[in-house]
Amino acid sequence: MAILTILSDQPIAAHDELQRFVESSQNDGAVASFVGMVRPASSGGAGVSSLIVERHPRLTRRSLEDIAGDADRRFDVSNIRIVHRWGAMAPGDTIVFVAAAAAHRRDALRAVDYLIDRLKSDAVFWKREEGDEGCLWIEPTDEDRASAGRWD
Amino acid sequence: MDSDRVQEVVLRFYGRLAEEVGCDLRVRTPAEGLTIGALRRQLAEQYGLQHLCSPRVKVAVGDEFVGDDHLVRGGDDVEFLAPLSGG
Repeated sequence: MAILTILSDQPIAAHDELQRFVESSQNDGAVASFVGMVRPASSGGAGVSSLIVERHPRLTRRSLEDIAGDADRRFDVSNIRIVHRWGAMAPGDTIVFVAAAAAHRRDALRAVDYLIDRLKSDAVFWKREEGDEGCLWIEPTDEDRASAGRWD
Repeated sequence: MDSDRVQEVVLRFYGRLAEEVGCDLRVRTPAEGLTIGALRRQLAEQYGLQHLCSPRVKVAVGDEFVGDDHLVRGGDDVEFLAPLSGG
């Protein structure tokens, strides 16, 4: 089993991450991935000029490792990668790259679904949008919480 | 002087709470300690931030998440984490 979690303030090249992940999953039958990007508009429709993702100096990294470890225990996967960016980002930038590899597609797809739901609610980050309407802190929506609750 | 220092607790805030409170705080705890729940209520009243009492605000002491019945003692670092939002 290989788990890799990366926390970085540098841009994420999702296509490069996917290529590296596929190359490291050559003994598997399926790779599933998810890329989260900065939206150009807030949920209310206002223009967003930047997204600032804050992290905790120690707990953030540990939360990524815990979430990846939980996915490993829960699904029959052989390879997991989480790459999460923090700092200031522009619309279109990648915030997070998540991938899982398994012998069969269902395990890989479900593991990625689980990982991104857990990241939304349990990863130690704080996000705020800056744009036309000033600064707005982003918190998980009821829908996000319901999605995470599916796995309880 | 030493005993005063021992009974002091450092409070740190993250996310929206950091903006709302504005800085780290140092508070003195009674010798018998103070529960996280009592600390939440005290701060909520002092700063008018009722959401400090929300279960969505997590609290960590020494990098471990703790519940409202956890007893804070002098020398502890207590961290209040605004609702998390990753991904």
